[in-house]
Amino acid sequence: MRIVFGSPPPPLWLKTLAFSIGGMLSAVFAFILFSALSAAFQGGGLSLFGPVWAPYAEKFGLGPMIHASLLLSASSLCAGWLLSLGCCCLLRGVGPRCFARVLMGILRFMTAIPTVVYGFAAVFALVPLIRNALGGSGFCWLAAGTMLAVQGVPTMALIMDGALRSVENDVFLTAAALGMTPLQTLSRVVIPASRPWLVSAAVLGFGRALGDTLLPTMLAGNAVRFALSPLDSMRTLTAHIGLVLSADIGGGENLSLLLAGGLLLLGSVAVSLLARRVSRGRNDEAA
Amino acid sequence: MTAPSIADREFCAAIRGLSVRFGDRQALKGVDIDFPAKRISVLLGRSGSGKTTLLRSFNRLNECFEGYEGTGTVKLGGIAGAPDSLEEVNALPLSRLRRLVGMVFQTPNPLPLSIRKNLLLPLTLVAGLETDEAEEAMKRSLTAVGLWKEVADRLDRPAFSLSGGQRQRLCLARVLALEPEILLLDEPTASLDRLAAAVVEDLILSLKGRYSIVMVSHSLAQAGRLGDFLAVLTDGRVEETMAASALPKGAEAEKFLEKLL
Repeated sequence: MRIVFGSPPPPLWLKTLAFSIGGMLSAVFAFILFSALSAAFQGGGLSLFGPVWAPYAEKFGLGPMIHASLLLSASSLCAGWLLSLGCCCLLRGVGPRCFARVLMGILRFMTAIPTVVYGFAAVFALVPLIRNALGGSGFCWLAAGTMLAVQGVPTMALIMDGALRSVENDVFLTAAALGMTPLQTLSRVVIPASRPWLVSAAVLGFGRALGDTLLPTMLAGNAVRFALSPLDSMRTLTAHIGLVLSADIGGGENLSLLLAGGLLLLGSVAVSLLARRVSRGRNDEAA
Repeated sequence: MTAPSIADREFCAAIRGLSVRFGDRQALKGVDIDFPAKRISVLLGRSGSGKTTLLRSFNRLNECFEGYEGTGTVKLGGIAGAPDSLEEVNALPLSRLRRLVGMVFQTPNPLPLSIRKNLLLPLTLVAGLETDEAEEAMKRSLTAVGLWKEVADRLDRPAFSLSGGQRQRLCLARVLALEPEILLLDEPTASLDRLAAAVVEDLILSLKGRYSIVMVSHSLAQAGRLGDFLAVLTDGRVEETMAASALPKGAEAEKFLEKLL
């Protein structure tokens, strides 16, 4: 548990705390994974990975939910990541300084808003807008994706901004002395040099988008189907867990929930491992 | 005082009544000084005497700092169209001024990018060269600082993988590639070990005659080895200027300069 080489060993209480928290977390992960595994084996006849969710016919396929979770988190991550990078550019000198100050205030404020407020606001503002402008019920992939993207912006933007700010501090004088404008410095030096942090922000954003339950449940419509158009209704794995848990729960449903939990955990782990590999690859290249 | 005539390009810079303050701190207090063209001028003085501020007034880098206020004029030679005229630094677009007045810092400061990008970015963005012209210029300037053989096969590796001395030569190459008229060197060997410092010093000597060089140094010995013209600053004022040839020789020189500082 030594953090910095040569620092004194941490006190016993800190060690105990670290081990017990580590132990509890591992126990939770192990529980989720084991129950998911056993569900997958037990539910052999229930086609748990299949495309059809029809409890009356003993079919508990999670296919549509897996599809919806991946589609929704990937699309909202793309939009949210780009929005965050855009915010960072505004904060770091593209655009007037007073505007940057206001934007920073808004971002900090947004981190403190509970998710349910976003969902509530969207139900009364965004959903009717989509319904009137584009048709359908308005409860769809587009509505949930938009709000997930907006909700993810402050966290990602603040992480990115921290990285960009520190790189900028290191290079602004050098770049200025070479005759580069602040905008050139930002786009050609600061952003490329901050790539590992931009990737970390994306991983964090993906994890949150994949794991968010409230917004998809409130806004995505929750129909079990393979959504293809942004105006289609969809049900994510997280929304599925919430909905099934709060309604009926029997053998097949129970197993599908355990499996859904395991899949969500594996999804987050896979993405963060991938990102770690990507940024380590960059660092090796860079070392 | 009127600006000197420089029909024979005697001067690379004429500074009149230059006062600079950063917030409450007065860094320069009415500096009047001329620097010879195509020679090495060395600024000497204690820490905080205003050497670096004077150097940064050449390329208007002081303006990058909080609370900057400045009065007075800085005129440079060879930076406008006509080679023999002195041009006020404020009259030029900033990027052009900084291309023609290159600067090397005390701590080697490559950009956190590859070796290749460190040279190509300023060449393409600031000097406006096409990529193949820029590659040529990169090779020429890396050769000029004796770095080409060492890095030719690893141009795409990060500049921070180089040693301190190599980094400083890279920074010099980056500036030379932009074909400046004036070189500003802010204690370019202060953060290097003796061997690397000697290499950089030789390099600076080899540039003498081709560029007007203004350099800050903490080392009297170095000033004696490299300088043609010395200026001693004390507390934001120019205390003394002299030709290096007017320095007493040998051990006397040390004592002489010691007394001045």
